[in-house]
Amino acid sequence: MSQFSRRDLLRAGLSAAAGLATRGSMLGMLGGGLASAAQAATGDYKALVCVFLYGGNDGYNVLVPTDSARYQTYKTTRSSLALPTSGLLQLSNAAQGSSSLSYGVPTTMPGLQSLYSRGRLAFVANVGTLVAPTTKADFQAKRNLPPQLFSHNDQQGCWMATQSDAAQRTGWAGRLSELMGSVNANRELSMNVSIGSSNYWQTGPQSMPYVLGQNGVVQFKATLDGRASQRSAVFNQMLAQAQTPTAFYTADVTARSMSLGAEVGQALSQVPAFSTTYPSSTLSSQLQLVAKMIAARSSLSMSRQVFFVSLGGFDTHDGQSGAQPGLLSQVSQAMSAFDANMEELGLGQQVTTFTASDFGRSLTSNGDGSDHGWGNVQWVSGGAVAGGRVYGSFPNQAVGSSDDAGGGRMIPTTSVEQYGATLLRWFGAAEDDIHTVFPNLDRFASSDLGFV
Amino acid sequence: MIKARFLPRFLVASFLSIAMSWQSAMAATMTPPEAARLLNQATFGANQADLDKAITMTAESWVDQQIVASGGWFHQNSCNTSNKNPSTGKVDLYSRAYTWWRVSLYAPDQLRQRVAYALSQILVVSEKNSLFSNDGGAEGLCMYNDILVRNAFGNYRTLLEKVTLSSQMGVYLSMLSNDKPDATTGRRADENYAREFMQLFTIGLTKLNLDGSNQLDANGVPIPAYTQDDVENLARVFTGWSWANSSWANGNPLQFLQPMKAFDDHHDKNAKIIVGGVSIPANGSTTQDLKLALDAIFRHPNVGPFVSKQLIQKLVTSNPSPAYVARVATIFNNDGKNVRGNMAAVIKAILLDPEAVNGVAENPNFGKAREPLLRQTHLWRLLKALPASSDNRYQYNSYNMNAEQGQAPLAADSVFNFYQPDYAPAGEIRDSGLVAPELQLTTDPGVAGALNRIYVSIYYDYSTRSGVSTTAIRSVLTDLLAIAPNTDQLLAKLDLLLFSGQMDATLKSTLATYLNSIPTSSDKGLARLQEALYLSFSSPQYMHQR
Repeated sequence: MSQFSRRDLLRAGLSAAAGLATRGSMLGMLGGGLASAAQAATGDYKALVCVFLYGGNDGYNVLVPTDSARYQTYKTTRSSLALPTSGLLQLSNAAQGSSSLSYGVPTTMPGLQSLYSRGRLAFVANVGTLVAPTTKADFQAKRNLPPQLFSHNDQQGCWMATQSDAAQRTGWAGRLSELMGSVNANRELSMNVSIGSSNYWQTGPQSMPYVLGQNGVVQFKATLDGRASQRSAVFNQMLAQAQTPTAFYTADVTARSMSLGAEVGQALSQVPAFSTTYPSSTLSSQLQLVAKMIAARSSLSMSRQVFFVSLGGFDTHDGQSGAQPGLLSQVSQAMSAFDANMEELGLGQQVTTFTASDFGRSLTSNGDGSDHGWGNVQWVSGGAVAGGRVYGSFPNQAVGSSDDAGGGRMIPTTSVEQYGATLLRWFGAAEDDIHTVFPNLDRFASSDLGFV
Repeated sequence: MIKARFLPRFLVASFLSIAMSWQSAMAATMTPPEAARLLNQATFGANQADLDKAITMTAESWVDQQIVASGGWFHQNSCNTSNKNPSTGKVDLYSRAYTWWRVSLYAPDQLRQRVAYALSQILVVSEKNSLFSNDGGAEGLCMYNDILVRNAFGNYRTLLEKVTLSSQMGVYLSMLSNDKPDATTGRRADENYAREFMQLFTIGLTKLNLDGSNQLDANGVPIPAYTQDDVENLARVFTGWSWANSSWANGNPLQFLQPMKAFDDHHDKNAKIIVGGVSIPANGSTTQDLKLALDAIFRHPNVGPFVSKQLIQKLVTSNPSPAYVARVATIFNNDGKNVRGNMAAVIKAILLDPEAVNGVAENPNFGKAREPLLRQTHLWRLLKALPASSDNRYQYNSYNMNAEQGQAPLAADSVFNFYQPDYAPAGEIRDSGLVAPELQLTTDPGVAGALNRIYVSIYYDYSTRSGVSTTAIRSVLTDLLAIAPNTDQLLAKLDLLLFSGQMDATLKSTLATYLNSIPTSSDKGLARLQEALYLSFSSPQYMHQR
């Protein structure tokens, strides 16, 4: 859409309605919804929730091999970072079949252990950013590697955008929403909702996610005082007079924040209290807010939603043994509470939560921490998950193994595209749309890992 | 008089006449709009007092005078003399926050403080690392801020060394207590500082041309500036530094007020080859190796364009032309006296460049989005804000408001700052190949929170309101109230100081119609003034500093 038609739309909306409530959100829906996705049937609802662990979570200290051969390798490679067997909770082997391989999670994550044993949580081993299937020889020859491996912002970008179009800075959830956003009757509110700040994952070619504050909607004080009605007419004229791209973007976000803030704030205020209790933490309050948005789905007329929550602090170059357990405990508690909350709402089968992070970390130690790595362990939870299993290929953790790019940086054996495509297929994306979102998908063996 | 000098600027089309216009403008004292534009680029926001002084000077003489000015406003000293927590007698994070606001609003050496703030977004440390909550941590952050203030017009090489050896950076990017490798345990050197030092503080990820553009390989792909091997070697160079105590890795006490100390026993003495193939010979001391590495990286050809472009973005315009970057980088590389990294010369080149002066007339995308922090400093400088109580300048509100407006000094989420230099939101900006870093904070709650902070400063926290909070920084409305009954005069002043004389005629007439509808007889113009301030500061046009 050209700048002029977008501006004209804004102006038309403003002058016709003398307000912003009826204006379609440029940032949310207008760029998309043109594909063939049909209106979802009443009662049909699904949500995907991404828990992004900023900084690069050390996932190989979340899922630890406990069978004796592999534990010895783990212990040798991880050295001062290795968790002792007394620091691990054994995962049930029941769903894994006859395998002699076994795993544990840290004692700070009993919630994950419980979800796993109840078949509501699966791990995906050694997933990461890939251009194509990559061997150690490929890595050493610098063949087909994602740009700027081991750099935080670049690898976050690769996870969120997937490699092929990182340069365009659009994310796979953003692209998806423009392909299937029209399933939602609400044309104002984006399919994509982020808590706290924006992100590339939910940024599409023409759309930005709707962002909620950490505690919900932030209302404009200037819309609540005695002069608000006279002022808002002038304010809206002022927004419509924006002349430069920067001013126009500011006007657009401001207008959306006002109109959607009123609508979403109203819907959230009518959500009955949950009986599920959440511990007090940053991540818990974000997931609780997501739960409220989900509970408000009918009044917001949403049938497909994609949420983004995040927690920082995982860049554990030093003091890892002191810092990571608290963070992991927070993640485990928050994800457990959220899972219980979805069950309470009767939506256990309809909401799937998954983790992502910048990159994995070096298995080797720099004394009291780990450095930037590549392949990582992620986990997926919810009633629809075929849980109690480890998917993907768990790497050989020996330094110098065929999985080791150096220093215990694991070369991924499952791509973000495969991980994402599995989630999007469950979400209801059409096969064509999945391949549009992930143009490199066919380079990899399977586009359905089967964990959900 | 003003128009005679100002109008031709908009009419000339050729570069030659623009250059001539630039030269004649540079030789003349600044017009009020020119002075306001420079003040908005180079200070924490134009106000009347600074403008009155600036219009007696040429742009160059203003910059020169600011470069030699020493306000003596240092954060550590200011914290200690005025802003200790009255109940504990210590400097804490509240003290630090309030000190930052006080210095930034009132220091006479505004350019120095403003450049230090820009540098704080490149050489990032953040109080969000919980170690800074310990005793001494807040004062240490003040001291770190002072490193940036003291070296804002010094040499970038010196600044790099001060930052690298500061215990604050040592803590923040874990170079502190980075031990030499140990083959028996498999321990490697910590790569954190080595990587971010190259990626964010000096070289950047890819090889650059002088004009800041990427060098491309035969396939048109940007060429990485360094390898993982380079990171690992530099990490080994950066071993052997710890707290300034008698023994290694001993944080008792946490010596936040001392630079890190070298421990040769914990330094990797093997030879290293760092970026560019530079050899650091074996058996050098901890200090010798560090100096060799800093010298070598400082000489890397990327540093000039990399640092220059970011400073241009943080002061003048988000999308400088390649030629503008090249002109400034040339000065970075050699200030004309064979000095590399002369920051005074670099800042002067940035602010006096023809594009900084004429860009607004030439290019609709010239300029930058104003971030929440600089909108708030501008409001309070305009309104001569006061602490609620002159004998106790320890103000909680200046700390707590940071959650509200979404940005606080030395409080980014990570070393990647509040926003990234290449951020572009979806839509027109990104589609045009432009960036708008500060707009990363322009989100639904971000817009509302920052405008609410402005709202509170205008409608609640003003000095003459009965019941104004005793812990609030108070706006003083008196000066502007005097002209509030005259809408044209009021808008002319806001146009000049907020919009550098560029307020759009439609916006001005929209505001005038509304403001004239607000009677001034019963409240002496208070409501009209408040409406004028709030709407001007919240207008999309103000968001785009040009």
